[in-house]
Formats: sequence, C-alpha cells, structure tokens
Amino acid sequence: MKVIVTGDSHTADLFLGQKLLEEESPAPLAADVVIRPLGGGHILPTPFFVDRGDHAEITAPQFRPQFARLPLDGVENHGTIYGICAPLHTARVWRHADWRRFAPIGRAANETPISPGMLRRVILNDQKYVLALIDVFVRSGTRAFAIEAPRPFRHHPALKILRPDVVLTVDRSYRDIMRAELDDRSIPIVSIPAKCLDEDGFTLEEYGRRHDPHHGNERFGRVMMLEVNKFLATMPG
Amino acid sequence: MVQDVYPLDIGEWYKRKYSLAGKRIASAGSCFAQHIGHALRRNGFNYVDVEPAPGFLAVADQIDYGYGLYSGRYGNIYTSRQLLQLALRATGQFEPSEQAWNKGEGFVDPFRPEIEPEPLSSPDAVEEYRQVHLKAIASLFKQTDVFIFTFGLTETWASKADGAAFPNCPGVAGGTFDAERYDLLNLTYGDVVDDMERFFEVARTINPNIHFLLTVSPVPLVATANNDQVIVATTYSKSILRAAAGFLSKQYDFIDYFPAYEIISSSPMRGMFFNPDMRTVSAHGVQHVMTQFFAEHTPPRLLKGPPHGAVNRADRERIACEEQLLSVFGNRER
Repeated sequence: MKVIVTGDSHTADLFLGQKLLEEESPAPLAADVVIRPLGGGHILPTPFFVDRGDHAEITAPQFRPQFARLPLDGVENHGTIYGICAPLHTARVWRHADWRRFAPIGRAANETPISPGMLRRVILNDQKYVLALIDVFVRSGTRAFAIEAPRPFRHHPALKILRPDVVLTVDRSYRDIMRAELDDRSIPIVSIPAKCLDEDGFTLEEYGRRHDPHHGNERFGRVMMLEVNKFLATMPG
Repeated sequence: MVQDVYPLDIGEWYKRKYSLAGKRIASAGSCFAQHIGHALRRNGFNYVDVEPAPGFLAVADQIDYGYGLYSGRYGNIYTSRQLLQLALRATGQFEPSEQAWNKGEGFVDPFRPEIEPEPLSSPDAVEEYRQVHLKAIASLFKQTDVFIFTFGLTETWASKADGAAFPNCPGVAGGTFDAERYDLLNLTYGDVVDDMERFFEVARTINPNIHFLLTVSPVPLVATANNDQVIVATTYSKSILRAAAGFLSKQYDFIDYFPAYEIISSSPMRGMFFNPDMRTVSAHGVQHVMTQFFAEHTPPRLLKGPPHGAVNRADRERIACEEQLLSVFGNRER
C-alpha cells in the first residue's frame, strides 16, 4: 500500500514523527508512507490549482515544485492513498485579532455576536479550495483521508489578546463544520487522540515547540503518524 | 437654463447649504442610498461605520451579512416611519411588540429580516443581536456630523398593535401574513414631515449639532399594494417624498437637499440612466449623480492603502510555516 501525505506546514511535524517511527523496532508501520508537503497554509485559501476534471493542475508557484498535479498520474498513482493535512487547520480563522471585538453568539460578553451562519461562511470560505481539491480526489475515485492539525496551544501569542473560550469555540466550530463536510464526501479523518489535549481542548504544551506556538513537535508528529498507521492498517490494500 | 442644453451638460443642479469638509458622515435609506455611501467611502470622506465587518469575513461576503452597505447594519430603510422608529428603538423610546419572526427553522429580526442569509436559532439570539445593533445605532448619532437619508417609499406594512413599521411585508422574508395583525400604510405628506421632524428631534437630543442631507431615491416602485397602476403609485409616492424633503430643507437651516431624484428622473434626462429593466439606475447614472454632488463637496484625498512595512501576526506565522517546511524538508523538492 502506497500512501502520500501532503498538505500544509503541519506535514513537517508528521514527517519528523514518521522518522521516529521508522527508527523504532519493530517499526509500527502499516504502509509505505511518503510525506511531501504542498507548502504554507496561507496559500490554501487562494485558487492554488485548476480543476482539470480527473485531476487538479497545481498552479500556485509556491506549491508547484512539490506537485504539478494531484492526484499523481498513471503508474505513480496506481492504488495510492492520499492523506491530506489541510482541511482541519483552523488557526487562520481563530487567531484573527478581530476576535477581540467579536465572539460567536452565546459567547459574546462585550463583543459583537457572530451568528453560526456567518461563522460557517467564514470557515467554508477559508477551506473553499481545499474542499474543491478533495472533490477532485472523490470524483477521480482516488482514496483519501484527512489528518487533523494541532488544536490551539495555550502559549500561542493570540491568546494574550483573545479570550480562550472564544478561541476554543471558534476552533471547535471549525472542526465540527469541516468534519461534516468531509463526512459528506466520505473522507475519513485521523483525529488527534485525547491524550494530546488538556481538559479544555488545548493541545498540551509537551507536544508543542517553545519558540513556535503554531506547529506540533516531533512527539506530536509521532503520535499522529501512529494514528495514521493504525488507520491505514484498517484499510484494504 | 436647460432648454437646448445637452442633458449631460446641464449644470447647477445643486448648491450646498453647508460644507462637508472634515465632517463625519453617516448614511441610511432605500437601496439607492448604498451608492451614495459607497461613493463617499471611495472618495475619502470621513464615513461613519458603527458596525464594521469583522476582518475574518471575506470582503465578498460582507454585503451578504449587511456590512458596508450603510453606516450601521440596519439594511434598507425605505420610509420615514422606519427611520423614526429605528431612532426611537435605539434610544429606548419604543419597544415593538413583535420581537422575532419565524423563518424556516429559525428566527429573524422583523426590522431587518434579510440582514443575514440564514435565520438565527432562537428569539433570544435575535434579541442578543438586536441589542448590540441598537446600541451601535445610538452611538451613530453621537459621532455623526451629517446624516444623509434617502427617502424610498411611502408604502409600508405596519403592526396594527403598535404601529411598528416593517421593511418587508410580513410573510415575505419571515413571519406570517395576517390581515388581522398588519396594515398597509401609505404615508401622507403630513406623516412624512411629522416623522422626520420627530426623527430630527430624537437625533438632535443626542447630538445637538447634527446636520442632515436629504435625497429621494429615483428608483421606481417595483409593485404597489394599492390599487393604483404602479407608475401612478410611484409618482404619488415620489411626489410626497420630494415635497416633504423640499419643505424640510427650506424650513430648517440644518437640513440640505440634494436632487439625486431630479438628476436621474426629470424629463430632460430622458430616462437614459435607467438600466434596461427601467427601474434600477445604471453605474453611469450613479456616477453622474455623484459628479454633481462632488462638484459642491470636493472629495478629500483618495483613500490610502495600508501602511507599508508592518508585519502582522498572520505574516509572522506565515514566515514560521515557511521556516518549518524549510527546516524539515530543506530546499530539495519536497
């Protein structure tokens, strides 16, 4: 079974985790996994590809050195399963400084309430092109699954100015909405295990990086790749 | 003198009563008023927006959620009655009995039922939304030097219980039509003048120095709930609004009138500025109207873009993402 894991910069955590797993004996690996990112997540809310029907022609110059197209072509693609680390990357929305002035309805104290409909629009707009890419995978009959990106870390600087409960509500809403979208497309999700999270839902600091409040560390990557391998073990070859 | 003058060369449509230089300007009204607000923003006027859109909502989506249309999220205000009642509600002087209308599986605010595409989940959510909105509107009058209002209609549906005027017929964008509960009002000249005089009083109680600039929308009625033919109904309605605006601007030195209606609709203009639907005003028409306006109110410098050199958090994190990818995958083909 050949697996390509791709997506945003959180694939780097996965790459480091996979390396750790490969060094273990016996290595708990279920498949031949290649981790090859597309690139920075800031490009994902932009039209980074052209839909060619049975594949996406990658057009964003920042992504093109990695992939000219997805899914890959011909023999290279035969039977390949794609793990996509992008649709559950929520930070672009929750870290926005305007959450100082706004809050999801029901959470607003002095902030202006935001309706669930508006929040849903914001989230789907953020993931518009990623979902369109996933639609290409579905249409072309290519097997794919999604890998969850880290939930917020408490030491993220945005939490110095934003209310933690607002951040968590936005993060949770984002994941719920995207889980439903992925479910509609029959895309399974490899989720973050509960042991990585504190009681409120933040990612535990031991899985983070001291000087990078955004990405997980190799330990986080190991946990997630272990989950990916567990998931792959359940898939028919 | 307009005889033997090419329509686009007709000038002197408007002589301002007071200057807008340095003034904080707010606007409201029927849909034509949106053009005025946009033009003021684009041309660098100090345009008041007490309910700005959140930065995380895409610009293309903001209009769908009632942002950026006017100085607050009140949607279209077609009549003098709606405007007056908005000011009364914002200042706690009027609490209509109808607080939430059913729409599909949810609820909407009867006084701005189309402010968002989807209804809210409960009447409490509608109330939470409304309280924040009305507080913002009360602050609007405090921080505005000149309030521009564009009259649209005289016909309005209202509650028989307390006279609350709605922007839509109940049952169209929420609620249920019930002839026992709702009346169609066709405001008279006296009604419009009275409404506006009361509105000025409410606004000037909050801000004694606030000035007003009135216009009448040239957009004809799409339909009438009265028995008149729609063009006849339009003429009746616009005549009342134009006469009321004229009276008020002559009566009070703090009220100016700008003849957008005449610039589009008067006979020398030959209806040329209407789109093929003969209702909506073309971009050429809006531009011509605003050219006449800006001839008297010189636009400030054009709006500048965001300052250069500032790196915000998202940019910093973007850099961090690139660094993370580089440190793990290097410069090789990833």
